Amino acid sequence: MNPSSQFGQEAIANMEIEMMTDLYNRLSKTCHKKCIPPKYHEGDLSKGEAICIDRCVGKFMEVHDRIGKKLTSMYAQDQAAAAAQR
Amino acid sequence: MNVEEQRKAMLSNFRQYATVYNELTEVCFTSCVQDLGQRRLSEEEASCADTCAAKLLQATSRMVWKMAELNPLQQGGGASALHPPQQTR
Repeated sequence: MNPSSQFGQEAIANMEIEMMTDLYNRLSKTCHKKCIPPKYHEGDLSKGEAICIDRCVGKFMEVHDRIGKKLTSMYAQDQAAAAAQR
Repeated sequence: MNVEEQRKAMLSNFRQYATVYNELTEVCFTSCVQDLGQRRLSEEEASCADTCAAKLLQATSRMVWKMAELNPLQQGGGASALHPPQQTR
């Protein structure tokens, strides 16, 4: 295995982890805001808050998937258009 | 550009792309999803997310182009080589 390609793969994997972490941080901030009002009467999550979090995460990831598909198809369109021009 | 520089450029592109992707997700989720009564996205929320992403992408590319136009590269007038982004997709 050629060392430069190994480095390439590792760097990409690290980048993916970093981006996943970034996504998680955004999700966490967003769902906190939507689901947990800043009135801390008790230390335990209420049932409503827990369900809200479940749904928030589900919807957030669904939006993430949709946008990902859109970006991929737009990129493919751009590639096709660029190839057609050559 | 040698191999090392190419690889760095590629990684930096990927990072940029992934950041834009995450940013879009956050902004469009926040604007489009108000009701957390359901587990899945409603039709309305889904189409809002799609149009939000398309519009913000156009906005971003327009900003990049405009900034390049108004802030000529050090070599002088390099921005003339750039074209405005397409209006319609």
